[in-house]
Amino acid sequence: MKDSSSSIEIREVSKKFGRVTALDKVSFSVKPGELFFVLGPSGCGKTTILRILAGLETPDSGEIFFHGKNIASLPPYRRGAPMVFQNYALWPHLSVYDNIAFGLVERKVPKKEIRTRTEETLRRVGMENLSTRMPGQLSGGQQQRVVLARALVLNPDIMLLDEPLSNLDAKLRGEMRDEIEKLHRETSITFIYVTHDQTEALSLADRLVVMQNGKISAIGTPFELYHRPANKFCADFLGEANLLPGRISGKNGELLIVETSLGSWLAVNSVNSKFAEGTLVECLIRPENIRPYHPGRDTNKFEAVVRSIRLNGSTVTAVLQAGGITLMATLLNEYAVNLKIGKTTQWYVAPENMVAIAEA
Amino acid sequence: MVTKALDIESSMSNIVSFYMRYYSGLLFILIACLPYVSILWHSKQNIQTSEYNKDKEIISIISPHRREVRSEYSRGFHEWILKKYGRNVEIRWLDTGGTSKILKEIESRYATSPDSPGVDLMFGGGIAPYYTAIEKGWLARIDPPKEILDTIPLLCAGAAVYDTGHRWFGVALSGFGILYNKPLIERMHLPVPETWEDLAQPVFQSWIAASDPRASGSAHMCYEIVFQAYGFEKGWSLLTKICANVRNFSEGSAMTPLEIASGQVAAGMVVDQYAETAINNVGRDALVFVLPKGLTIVGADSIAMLRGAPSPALARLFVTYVLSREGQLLLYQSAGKGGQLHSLHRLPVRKDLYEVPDAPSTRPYDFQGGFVYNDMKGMRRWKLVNDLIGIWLIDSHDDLVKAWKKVIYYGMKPEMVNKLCAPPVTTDQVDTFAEQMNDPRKAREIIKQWALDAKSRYRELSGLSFAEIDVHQH
Amino acid sequence: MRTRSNNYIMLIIILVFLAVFLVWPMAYVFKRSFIDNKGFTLFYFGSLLSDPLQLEAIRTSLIIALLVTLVSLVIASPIAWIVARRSFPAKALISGLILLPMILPPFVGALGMKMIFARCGALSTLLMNLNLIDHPVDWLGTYPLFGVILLEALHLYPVLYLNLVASFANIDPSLEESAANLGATPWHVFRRIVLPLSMPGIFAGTILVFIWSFTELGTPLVFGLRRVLPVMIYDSVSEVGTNPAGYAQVVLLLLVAAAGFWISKRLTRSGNNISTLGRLSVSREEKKMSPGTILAVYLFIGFVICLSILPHISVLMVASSKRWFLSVLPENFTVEFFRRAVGSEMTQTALFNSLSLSLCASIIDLLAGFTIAWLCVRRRIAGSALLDTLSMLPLAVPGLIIAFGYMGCFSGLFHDHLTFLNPRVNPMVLLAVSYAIRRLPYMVRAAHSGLEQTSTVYEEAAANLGASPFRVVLRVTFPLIAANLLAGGILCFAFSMLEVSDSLILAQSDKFYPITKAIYALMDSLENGVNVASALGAWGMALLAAALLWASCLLGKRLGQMFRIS
Repeated sequence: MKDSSSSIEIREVSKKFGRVTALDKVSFSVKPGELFFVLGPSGCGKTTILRILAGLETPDSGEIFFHGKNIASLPPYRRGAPMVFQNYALWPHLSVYDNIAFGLVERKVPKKEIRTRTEETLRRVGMENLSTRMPGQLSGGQQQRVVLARALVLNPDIMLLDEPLSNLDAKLRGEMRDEIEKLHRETSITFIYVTHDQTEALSLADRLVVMQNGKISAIGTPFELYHRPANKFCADFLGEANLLPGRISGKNGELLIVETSLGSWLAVNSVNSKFAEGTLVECLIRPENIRPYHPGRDTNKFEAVVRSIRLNGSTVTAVLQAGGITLMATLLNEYAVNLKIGKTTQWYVAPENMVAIAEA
Repeated sequence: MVTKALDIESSMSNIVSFYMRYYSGLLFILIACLPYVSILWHSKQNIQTSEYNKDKEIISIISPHRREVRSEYSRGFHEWILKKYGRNVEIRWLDTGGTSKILKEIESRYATSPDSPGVDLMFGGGIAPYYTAIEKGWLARIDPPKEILDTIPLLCAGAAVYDTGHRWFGVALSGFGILYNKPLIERMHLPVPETWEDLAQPVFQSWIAASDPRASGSAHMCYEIVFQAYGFEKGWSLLTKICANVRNFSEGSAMTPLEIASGQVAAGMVVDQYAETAINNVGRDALVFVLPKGLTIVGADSIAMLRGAPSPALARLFVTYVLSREGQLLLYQSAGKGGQLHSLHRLPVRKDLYEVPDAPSTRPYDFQGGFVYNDMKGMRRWKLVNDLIGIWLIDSHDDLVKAWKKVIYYGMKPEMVNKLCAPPVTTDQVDTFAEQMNDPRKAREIIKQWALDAKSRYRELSGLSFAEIDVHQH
Repeated sequence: MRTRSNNYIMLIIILVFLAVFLVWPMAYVFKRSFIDNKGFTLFYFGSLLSDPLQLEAIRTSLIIALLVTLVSLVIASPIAWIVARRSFPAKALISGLILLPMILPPFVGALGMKMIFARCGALSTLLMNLNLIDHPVDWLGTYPLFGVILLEALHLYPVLYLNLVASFANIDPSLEESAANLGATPWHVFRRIVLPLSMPGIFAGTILVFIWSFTELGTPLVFGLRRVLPVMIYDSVSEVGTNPAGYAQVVLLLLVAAAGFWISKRLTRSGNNISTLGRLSVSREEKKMSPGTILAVYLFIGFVICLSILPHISVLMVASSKRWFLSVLPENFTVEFFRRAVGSEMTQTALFNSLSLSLCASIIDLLAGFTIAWLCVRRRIAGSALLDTLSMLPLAVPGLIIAFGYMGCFSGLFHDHLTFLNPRVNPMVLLAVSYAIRRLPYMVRAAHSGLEQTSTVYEEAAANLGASPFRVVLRVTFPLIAANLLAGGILCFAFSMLEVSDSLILAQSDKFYPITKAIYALMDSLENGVNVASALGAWGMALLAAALLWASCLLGKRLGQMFRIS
């Protein structure tokens, strides 16, 4: 029952606030040293998971394990899982130094050690010159570093991050993202990282869980979830998605044969799903996977009228009209030179890029 | 669905809060209007009391008299002058507190405008303040009709009733005595007090009431009488013990009878009119008033016109009124008679009123003083007595009580009692000190020194241990 | 251009008003205590600090103020913590009741308190009937400060409570959560985070309570304490023209009050910085309590509320009974004293005086308060900061000081002209003005919060459709914040009806007595004066309670803001 190979495990955790269900029997486990993301739109319950892990909320039911130990009954101050709060929660009456040393003082670490560890952490986040400043005198990025340092100084096994980048501007956000990545590389800390930003999740996560309305929608590596999403919500939430409805008519080796309005196409199964013949499905085609037809690619071939063309910079997005269906295609600039609005062109999709997922 | 339910809830609370606002507002207005409506209702029923308002004249009087006395004079004088002269006069009373405060107020007024104090008459406070006022040159001479003066003797029990220079006139006679609460005395097994000396007994510790002479003229009189009845040094010793028995000193002299009547204390030195009023409120079975035989006086409560009075003619008329038959009847008639609302329980100065059938039962002109009360002496040391009592016995009261309790605890050893009660000023020094007290800066120095002396004397006594007492004795 | 000059004209009128009736009296008091006919002198101030009796009075006043502050803290802190952090049934009602003692005047309550603790009064008799004692205990005689301290603490704890609740509730919950998350136990979270962060609010409330109890005149006066600084000042009013000793005493009070005001201003300013740093995060979830704890909370709060209204209930009993002596409850109930309270000439005059004075004061406050708030919130013209500070000043400057200053600077000045300003001739104008000045902060605050909650777009729309600035204020601004103005006005009115220190000092003759002075004058009247005074006082309390109820219905939760220092 105790899977000590996982750093964090939560089982069947439910939580209600009044009549609103925040979490509904949520279970997952996180491996040691993993950078684990909880992703979802606002109100999906992702922050509640974090607060339950930190002990700031008590679940209505369910169990929580840190390194195989059930810690559901421990008060927040004995969980040892420092959290980076979305609004930083830096104590305005304490200096940068005192903010960082706070947890060490609480742990009754000897004075000398507090000093060395705090100074070392200050150096590590590049704040050694600002240790006497008050939080009110710091910029947003500096505040963020202090919050990180405040948690890091404790040498934790587990760190909880609640939308750590949401209060920063675009440039700082990039810097901090690199910083967190570096941290993840250099330490063996298990991170639980909550965010609503899918690019952040896809670019950083070892694994992630996608939440919807208090339930887990999907769980897996970024690659799996982006390319083989288990459901429509996940497909939509993680990036642009074209959905082509169809019906399973048979199998061709590992591939499925799907009857769509554009003809009989070959598709792959999404992770963990097996479709019987005759099932109605939706097929996910990422826009970057629709390519101009060139000979030899005869499966999943179709004709479409170009309705509009939009330049994104290095890529171009074309809106295609095929029969009654509108599809978006993202192409590199060099492939787009021949496109003209109103012109009928031929396209194809590689079967491994067409994912059959259950109809909602 | 949820939003709809919320809408209903919030509109419900809107309705509730509207009614709450409405009714709470109504409640407030109702409460606010209540007394005014009842006053207006009342005045509608007594239309005859509303008078015509033509040519209202104003006379202003500064006085420590209590409210009931003032309202009776307001009414009586108004009716009298309206009937006799057809004039509509209203009295404006100035209330600044007790007699000493009145003297300070008048001084302050003359200081800001030396020609007119803006006040016509000074009324009440005994006799002594009028001597002070004469010395300061504040009083103006008045000559009331001869037929009125003929009814008033010049002396009563050896004390002057009016100034032979006609600058002040006694209006009422006051006896100073002891008021005690009979049920309380019985319940607490205390002796019945009959003389000033009784009040000095240790059993009365914390059971005596007294007022500050610096605030009240009649309180001052009680202390001065003890001084004059026993002589300065014996009087001081007695007063020290009486004051050490006092529970706490009150500002107005009216508080003393109130405290006795409400059972906070058992007895106190009180002027007759207050005692009679309290007796009238609480009942003769509960309160008793005694005049210590041969040890007290009957003094005149006086009136005088101030120099530079704004309306001197009216002031003279008022003096005539208070000495007239009507004005004198006001003093002792019981409530209800002659339109009077309050019984004032005072004694008139007109001797003829004691010779008629329903005369007051007390006869002050037959009273034998037992000693001669010296008004001039009393006036000269007015401030000295106030400050002596005030600094040594009242301001240092806590320390005095502690020392007194210690003295009682050690069985009233004579040397301890003597130390406690030694007069700070010898009889010979009284006159020089009395003189010095009138110089503010010098007085300040003396007072400061006394405060220190008193404290160290009482602290020394209360700090003594038993062993030290023994050493003292042998 | 014209509207701007109009703004400045209004600003100047109000500044002049405040300068003459608020600043000048204080400056005059300073001048008189340090300058006599021989020039600058420290004699009077020096003698104040070297005279043992004066020192004793100062010491007694300090002891009273310190103990009142301490007792208020002990009462207010747990209640404030529970109200700020816990949820329990009927919380709204209870948190309203907690404020009740604040508006019940201690001056009146002292009358009732004296009856309860009298030597042969209710408590002594009760204990004797229970055979717990055989001799009546002289509570107030033995411990003369006890009554004053208890009564003032029970009156002032809501002030502290309001400040405490606000500071406890304003702390961003994530600041505490992060501390717990980093290993701080609940007690450490309180000590290291909550306490330091709420310190400015706690200090501000504490200082306010300290100043108010240090300068309270009415309560010690009713209890018959002469040796306290405010009462000594009151006693020296009659010498205001001749003896500068009183001025020195007032200056001492003023210095203490000013120091307190300055400190709390500084603290709340740094407090503001702290609160702006905390970005709005999760809203605080109030914890639930076990039924046993809820019962204990009810019992404690109920006990405090009962204790604080007990004196006032006792006032009602004194007002409606003839005899309360050697019995637990009074005997011989009667309505006679209520009849006499509206029947005698003095009380009738007093009732009408107070009515007209309070109406005038409310109208002055309405106009001045709205204008000040409007200039500060909507116009923000130069000088509005000064205006804001000045208009808040009366919160910290006791009425005693202002009234004493009026006596000093207006009584010697006008013999021939402007006599209506001479308090010795006719104090009515000064009384109305002093009431208005005393309550101005409440009105400014009420208007302030109204204006801040009302968006300017309504006014801009009206201006856009052709309304002149004056018409905009009249047709849009005024109606929009009418509830706030009404609530402020009601409170100004009701408080003015029972204003103590200004009334006692300024009204010197019967004809000009307001209700409070009539109550004071009646108290030592031989003929059941205490009962009649209590009848008047009981009515006054009912009026104030109704005023608070109405104002809270109009303002809801925002009512509490009016009584906070920041």
